[in-house]
Amino acid sequence: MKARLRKVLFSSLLLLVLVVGICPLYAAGKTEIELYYYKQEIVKQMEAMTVAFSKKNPDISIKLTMIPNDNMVTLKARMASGDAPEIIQLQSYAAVFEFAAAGWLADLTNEPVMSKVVDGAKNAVTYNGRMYALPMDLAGIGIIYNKEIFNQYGLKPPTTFRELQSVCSTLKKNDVVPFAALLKANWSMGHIISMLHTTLAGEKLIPWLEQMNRGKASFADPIDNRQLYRLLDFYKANLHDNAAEMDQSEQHAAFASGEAAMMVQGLWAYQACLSINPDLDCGFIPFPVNEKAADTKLFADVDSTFGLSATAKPENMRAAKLFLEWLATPEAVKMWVEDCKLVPTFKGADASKMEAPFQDLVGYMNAGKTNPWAFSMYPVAVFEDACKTGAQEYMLGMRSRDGVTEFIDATWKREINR
Amino acid sequence: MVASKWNKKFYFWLFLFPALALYGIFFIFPLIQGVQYSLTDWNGIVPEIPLSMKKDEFDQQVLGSLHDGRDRELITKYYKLESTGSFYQLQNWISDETLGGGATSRQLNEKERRQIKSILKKVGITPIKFIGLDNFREMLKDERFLPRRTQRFLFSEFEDLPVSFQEKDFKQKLLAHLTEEEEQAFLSSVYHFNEAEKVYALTADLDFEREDRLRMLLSDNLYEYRWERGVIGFTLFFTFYNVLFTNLLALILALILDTKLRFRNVLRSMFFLPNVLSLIIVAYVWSFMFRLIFPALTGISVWLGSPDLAPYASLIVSVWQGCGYLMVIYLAGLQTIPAELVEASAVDGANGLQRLFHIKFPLLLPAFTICLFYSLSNSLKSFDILWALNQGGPGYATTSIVIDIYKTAFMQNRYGYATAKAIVLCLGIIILTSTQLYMMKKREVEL
Repeated sequence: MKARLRKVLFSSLLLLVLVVGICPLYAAGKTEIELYYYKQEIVKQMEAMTVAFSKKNPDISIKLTMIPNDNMVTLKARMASGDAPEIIQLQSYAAVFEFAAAGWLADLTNEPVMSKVVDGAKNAVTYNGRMYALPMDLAGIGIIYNKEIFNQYGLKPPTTFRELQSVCSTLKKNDVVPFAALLKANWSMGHIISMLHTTLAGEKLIPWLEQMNRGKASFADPIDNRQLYRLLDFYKANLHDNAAEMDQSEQHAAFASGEAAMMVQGLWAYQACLSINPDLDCGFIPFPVNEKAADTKLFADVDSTFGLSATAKPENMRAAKLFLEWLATPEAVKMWVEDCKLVPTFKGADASKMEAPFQDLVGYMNAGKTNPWAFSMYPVAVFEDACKTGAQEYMLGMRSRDGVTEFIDATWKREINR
Repeated sequence: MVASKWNKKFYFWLFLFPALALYGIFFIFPLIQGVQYSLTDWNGIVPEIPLSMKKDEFDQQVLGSLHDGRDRELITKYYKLESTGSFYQLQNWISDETLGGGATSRQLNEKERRQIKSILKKVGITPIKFIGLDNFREMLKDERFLPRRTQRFLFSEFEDLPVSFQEKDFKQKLLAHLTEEEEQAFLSSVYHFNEAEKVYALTADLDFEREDRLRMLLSDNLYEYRWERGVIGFTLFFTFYNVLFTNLLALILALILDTKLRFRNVLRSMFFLPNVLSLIIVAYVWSFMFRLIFPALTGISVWLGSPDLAPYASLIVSVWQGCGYLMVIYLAGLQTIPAELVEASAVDGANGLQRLFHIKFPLLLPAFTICLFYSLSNSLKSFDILWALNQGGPGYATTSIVIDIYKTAFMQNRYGYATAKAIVLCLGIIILTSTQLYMMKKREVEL
């Protein structure tokens, strides 16, 4: 009797597992679409936004998938297995272009929501004359500085390289680390080398990129190559002593606690620092590369975009387009600005409630004193491999100046020949 | 009842079939697919059949050159002009009334995809190109895959000037790189040789101009040549030392814990514990150790961030983590050795060392075989601990082959090339481990 009971129990348990496993396949009565994103700093905010959207559109529910690091790896694997999410958050330029070139992204050129985007942001999603994603937020990479420390030592935000040198030497004399370091992960150095290179190249950037993509130029061509590596040397000399071991969270901690006065980072890092020290009072300036203050422009561009999968089911596609429409409504923009703390790309969006560094960014944008994110326009392998690792190796003394340039040039040649 | 010969055979194969089928599905099939990919230039993104084509391209290349009426009909069924009229879009969802259950459309199935692929192949449209053995040739040219000699610069312009140099360093790393006599003269005017200590020391009085010049001179010319291991070199280095030290340590621990220690059970579980921990936690704990405890013990401040020390640091973690598991295998091996054999040799007058080398080790050979195999194959394909500790960095200093494959495939979008590397690694592992197994199996002693 007992044995039989056990058998019945066991088999019903097995059955239950099977039923529970299959259930979700039938449970979806309404349209469910998936939003795939990588910005780990806005997890709660995204949930709130999808809830707000579903309130307006009760027949659509949005499932959120957040993959923070290596999000492209997962995404490619899912694309290849025919399981593409409907809405995909992509980095501007290269990532959008790659997926658009492979045909994975739906053409959004004629969608009404695109007309609400500021014109300056459209470059980042335009491939072969068509727009394949909705630009969502503007971000800048530059120097975030601690105003309190600057005031304490009577320092002014530098506008030329020489001023920056004197700021750093004053800070060093007072036992303040000038720049909070981030050398352990290689991506930050990739941003920095591209930022310095772009600022040095100035007007020559776009013609140089064209030449480069024809295989007729070198990374060193549009700039004073010696100055680029002097700037890197200078940056290296003003970091923490154990810079090579510091990762992002340590950099944030050092900056937020006032141990370091500046940080060369994207504005997204400021948000993380605020959560460590809410009283932080900061400003945001471009990295000065030479003695001409006019050349000192902010490295700012479209950061994230939303694309739609071209392979989506027709009704899911309609739902996904409704969501993109909704993103441009005042309600959504308000959440985007005030909760997510991201600078919106829609015309007439009100960013006046944001903190000072964001206001600085908007100020540079409005004055037209910005340079585009050139690294997003490099071939993917050039930025991911040659720039990031090459610059990190230079900082650790593992690669020479010419070695970095050769590495970038060789990778670039290989990529355009493919 | 005795089963007939045919019957026996039937049941033998019947029992074997599931295993063979699984082996085929999960090993043979992916391997063949891998070999296929390694011969192409696939970037990991481009789909096998194009999802959309420009109108003129489609008109000329597909419709223009397809002559079979059936093919044309099929291809125009699957590719439809989209609303703007400038692109032909693959109809990924087609309406199908036969589905039932409320669904009216379904995705293209595998058969239809293959059909489209073969039609497009006829007109020469293949998004993934076959490039033969190019990927394998590329490996020989890959500058970070193989060991190479590199320059390492030792001074950068904004650092503090070196106060003194050893005589040898001064001559080899600096003086030898100066070609102009004037520069050499300038250098010897600022660095004076100190006979007593055999060093070149910086003079105290430097004006700004001369200091600037010296800085430029040093940042350009103070360098040395070093060998970088490269990905292959690092993997072999890591494998060799990891296999050596994990086994050595595990064996020593097993021998100690096989004796009648009072706390041996507690100790056994303590040494095994690292193996139970999640690798992420292990990496986190050790990063903490390397940052806070090692500098205080050794006086060297940077471990994981230093290109020279990071390989050794990873090795320490890997050995610490891996030796507990091998220790258990060795312990089990030691416990199967009959006590009477050991006692008999003791009665015959063998001392401790003789008993160890002539009785215990020969009988322990099966355990050696398993442990070596296990650690060898695991170290060759090590990924997780290296990734969690340092992501293969700094630079490429701790990039093993598997990390390199991962980076090549997913960060640089060179799927075909990465697959080729994976094939090479697979062959390497098979050759190395089977040689090891063959050699050791021959020497094992049957009781």
